[in-house]
Amino acid sequence: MNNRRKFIKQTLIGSLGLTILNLIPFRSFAANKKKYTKITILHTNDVHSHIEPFPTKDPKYPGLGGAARRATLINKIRSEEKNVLLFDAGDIFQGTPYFNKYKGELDFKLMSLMQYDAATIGNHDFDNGIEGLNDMLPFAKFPFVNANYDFKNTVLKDKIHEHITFLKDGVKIGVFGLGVELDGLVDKKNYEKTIYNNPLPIANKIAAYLKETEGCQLVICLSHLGYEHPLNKISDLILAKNTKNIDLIIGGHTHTFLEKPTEIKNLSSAITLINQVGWAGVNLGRIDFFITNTNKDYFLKSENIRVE
Amino acid sequence: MDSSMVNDLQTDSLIKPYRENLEKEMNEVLVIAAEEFPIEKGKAQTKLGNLVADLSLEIANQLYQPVDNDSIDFCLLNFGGLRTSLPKGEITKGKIFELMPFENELVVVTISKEAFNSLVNYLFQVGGQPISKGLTLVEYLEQHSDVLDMYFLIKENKYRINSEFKILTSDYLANGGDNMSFFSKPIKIEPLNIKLRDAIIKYCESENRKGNKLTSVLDDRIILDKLRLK
Repeated sequence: MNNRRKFIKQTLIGSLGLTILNLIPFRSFAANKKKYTKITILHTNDVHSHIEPFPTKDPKYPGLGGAARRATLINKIRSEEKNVLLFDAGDIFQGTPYFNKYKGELDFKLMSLMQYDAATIGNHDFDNGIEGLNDMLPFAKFPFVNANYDFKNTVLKDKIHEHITFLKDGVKIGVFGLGVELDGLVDKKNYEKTIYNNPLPIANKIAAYLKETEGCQLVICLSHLGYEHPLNKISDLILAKNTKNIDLIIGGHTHTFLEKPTEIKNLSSAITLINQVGWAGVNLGRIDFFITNTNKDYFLKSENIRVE
Repeated sequence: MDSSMVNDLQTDSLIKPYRENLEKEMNEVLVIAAEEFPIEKGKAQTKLGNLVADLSLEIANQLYQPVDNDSIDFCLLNFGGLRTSLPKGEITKGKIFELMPFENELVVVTISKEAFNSLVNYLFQVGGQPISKGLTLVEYLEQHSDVLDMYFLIKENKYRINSEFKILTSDYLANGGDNMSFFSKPIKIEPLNIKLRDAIIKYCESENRKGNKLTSVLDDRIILDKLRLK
């Protein structure tokens, strides 16, 4: 019995810096025999210390999730794909007694074992204060990215990366992070002297830098802004519309279960994709980018895989 | 079963010692319950609801430092948020996590008199929610009338004089959870930075230190349909 429910399998072709051109099935693209490099992006968000699967009696997610099975799934994909990148969009902490007792140590160790490539910081990652997060950093063998929190007056000074780049099979991928406004959401005593800066201008500046100066073919934002908010509060939807040079926003915070990545026409009329996979490790997000050797076109396939 | 969905052994062996240690802690006995505190559906007040509302107020009062020197009037929670019955006898930490698996934090919400009136109406409509001592709600039929009247008393003088009420609740309910729309336009929300679950654990530990067992009472805090009860 196949217990893996593949919510979506969609393929579409797009072009970097331009709009998505057409919806064509993967096979017909492959039949073109264009040379491309496949980059497989895997992602989680708002895992909230859900190390064990939900109990089988859980009314909403019976038996779903669990770190050991997520690891199996990730290992399987790694064995099948050459260029895998694994990201988390924040709120790793808080949600089960594992966090209350171990304060994030096990979460970071597990993510290190699964070889996460980067994560961003969610509001709940401040739950034991900025010191609490700092104390756990040695257990994380992967970098944290955030560009709109200024940590210069805190213990996290110089420990969080504004952006990082990866080189996979000749394809350069730039990754940066954005965090939600802390005031009103996180106790001041927990974020201390962290300064929150408006994500929009920062996102535009860094995305342009990554694309133009660094020459990244793929720019990814790990965002803990939330998919959508009432009023005009900055969200992934607003971010996507009002920026350019971002190819993919991996979101979190609002625990949004997207069936497939949302396509938003950005400032340069190109497509920025937004994906978010609920919470608690119930799903693993997957998007495969196929980048051609001319660096002009890519197309993608995405599936959110239920971990059960 | 899909073969990809088995546990990764390396991951599982990393988790194992943490899991075992955690289970040990979750098995820790916090206090002895003198009686059972069952979930009782359809009742206006329950021992479990009264226990949690009263202890929340007690813990909150230890933490709350009002800028206006005005103390909390009462605590309002919801039955839906109390997820399991507490057994008579040993109460473990794990049991409290079962009772309150959510990460809800205690907040003090200041609302207007109009909103307070809506709150009272809400409580009669839904047939009660856990409230602490300090508010008395009595619903009864006037002897010579067919009209259902609702009466409530809250530090009576205060109700006449004050235009604002301070209510201890969870952030979930303050945000309108369980249809508590009367919280939608608060005058003020003050976080206490303590989870409801941690308040319960703190109270259990402190009762145990004092040599007390966990008890609670049913009283006149909320009595619906008094005449029919007679």
